[in-house]
Amino acid sequence: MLTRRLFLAATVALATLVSSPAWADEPELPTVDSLLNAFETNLNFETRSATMTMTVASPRRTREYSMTTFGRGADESTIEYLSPARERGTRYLRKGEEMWMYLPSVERVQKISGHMLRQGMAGSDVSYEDMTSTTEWQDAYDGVLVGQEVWDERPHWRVELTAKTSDITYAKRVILVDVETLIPSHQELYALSGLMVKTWDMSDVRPLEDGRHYPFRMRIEDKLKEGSYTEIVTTELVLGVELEEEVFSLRWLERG
Amino acid sequence: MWIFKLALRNVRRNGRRTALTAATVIIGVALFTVASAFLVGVFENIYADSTALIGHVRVVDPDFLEREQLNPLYEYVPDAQAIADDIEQNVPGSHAYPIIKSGMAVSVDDTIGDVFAITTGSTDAWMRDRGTLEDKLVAGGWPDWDAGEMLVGQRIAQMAGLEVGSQIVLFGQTQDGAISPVGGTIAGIVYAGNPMVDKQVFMSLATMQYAADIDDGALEVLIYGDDVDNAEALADQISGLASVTDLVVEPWTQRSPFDSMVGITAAMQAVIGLILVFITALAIWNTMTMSVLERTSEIGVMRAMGLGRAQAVLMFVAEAVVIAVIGGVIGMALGSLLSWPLVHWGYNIGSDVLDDMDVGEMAMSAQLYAKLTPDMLFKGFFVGLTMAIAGSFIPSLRAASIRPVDAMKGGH
Repeated sequence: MLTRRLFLAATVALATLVSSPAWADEPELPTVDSLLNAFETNLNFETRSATMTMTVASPRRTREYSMTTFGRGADESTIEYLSPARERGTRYLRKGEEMWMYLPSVERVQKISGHMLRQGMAGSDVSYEDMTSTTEWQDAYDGVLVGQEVWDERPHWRVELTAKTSDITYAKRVILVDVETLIPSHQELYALSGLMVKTWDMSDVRPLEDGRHYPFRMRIEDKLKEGSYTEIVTTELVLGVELEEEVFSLRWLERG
Repeated sequence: MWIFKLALRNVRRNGRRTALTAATVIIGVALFTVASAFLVGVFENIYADSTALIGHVRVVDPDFLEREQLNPLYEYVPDAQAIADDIEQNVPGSHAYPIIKSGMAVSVDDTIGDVFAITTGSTDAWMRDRGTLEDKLVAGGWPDWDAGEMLVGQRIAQMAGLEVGSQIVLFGQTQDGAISPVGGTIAGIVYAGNPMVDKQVFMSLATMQYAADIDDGALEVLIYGDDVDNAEALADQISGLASVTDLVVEPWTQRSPFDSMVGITAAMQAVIGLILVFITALAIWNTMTMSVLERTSEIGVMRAMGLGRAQAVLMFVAEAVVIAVIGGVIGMALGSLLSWPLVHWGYNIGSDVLDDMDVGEMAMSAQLYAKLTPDMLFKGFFVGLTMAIAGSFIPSLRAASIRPVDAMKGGH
């Protein structure tokens, strides 16, 4: 799901608030496992809906998309494009690591698999694989907490993760985790060759009514596409919405 | 003149040797004719079929040219139809068509499949007049392009299990790289015997423009003149138009792989000719040397009677030329006869071979035909003459070096 990390950030922030508001004042040195545990634990949110805009910029032109998303837990989510007209009615369904899309122009549901997973969603810097890949990083990576550094004028933990096997999409991740909110403000994603292929930044972190922090803006840059970036801004977020079972089914995908 | 009469008499004197020499020439000329006919036929078919699909000249964006291997849809020619119209109006005898080609995945069920097709979107006129797809229909009929109907190559139809009337969904990309689906109905199946047609899906330009999200644009504007061999002159004319100022005008002869292939035909013909001349000349040299040895005494007498060295050389060369003329004519006839089945029925290398080959923009058919022209026959005849002169020259020099006294003594 496109906003998986966004929710990760939000739930991590919630966990931070609930567990220890003292992070900012007296930062203790956490273990990598505890940081990754926080990620995984806090992904298990209840339900939510959001409205977002996605700006996809390239040296040639800039396009803007608006969409609504629904999510339940870490493994179920949907996206529906509202605009532009060309994309309106295009829907995505993610269940675990599987993903389908409904294409209104051909009235067809297609499973996204194989090489298609590596393509950017709507030509953006976010690949389908980014959206479906598991965030169970403890299983996939060996981690080292390198230390603390300042990012965007705030203290961050610097965590370096190295993939345990070569079939992981990103062989290495460098993550700067906000000491206070535990939001991964900045990520650098590396290929097996050592080439940095993407950066993934989360910003505009605001406290929500229920006390959790939430990054309302994400910026993803595919370093292999010169001059391109994708910015996703959450314009409306509702947590704890009631969602029918059918929302996360192929039937919903087809009928809307 | 008397030298030629003497040469003719010598040709008739030893029929067996003459027949042997002539047979060498006949085989050489016939082999050259068959090899040339097949070579020229195959290459000319490739050029003709390819240029029908890729145009004699094309107009593209310079950045597209740089990254053509990646088929960058964003490097398109804007207002392509307007440019095509401008070219047709200002370059007499030219016909121009906007076209977009792009790879797409053919969906077989609810999963984006592994069957890939090159999809071509262009005008109805291009499909009919240049692609000659109407002639290649093996099932169904001509599409109503505006209704989203399409033509599909037979190979793709087989791989994706498509029939006339089947609904087809193709997944391509927009110029920004987003998945872009296109749906349609198969109106007809075409077969040309080459992957440039048989592994393609053909749709309207508007459908392709929508799929690639490039309004009014095209990746290429293809231009056709009266004669494919005048492509470079046509390109020069088009280059002078204001509408193509910022674009690249490229004749097919400068496009890969044709830029390197055009000279190959002539070079291969030359190599075949040289090899045959060498081998046949050796055989002629052998028989002519025997002839000189047998007639040493006679040559001595003639030299004593005033036959000059040059005349002696001329006599033997003339004898070889007479044999070469006879052998050449028969060789041409034999070569034509042997080429005939290849010209009319061709030779099929099997479509499986082409499936495994990356033929790129080459429209290479599995059925290969030879092409026999008068020009080729004359070349064969000339090769025969060259064989004879080359083969007889050294023995002739040997004959000319015979001293009359030595010859009449029985040695030389």
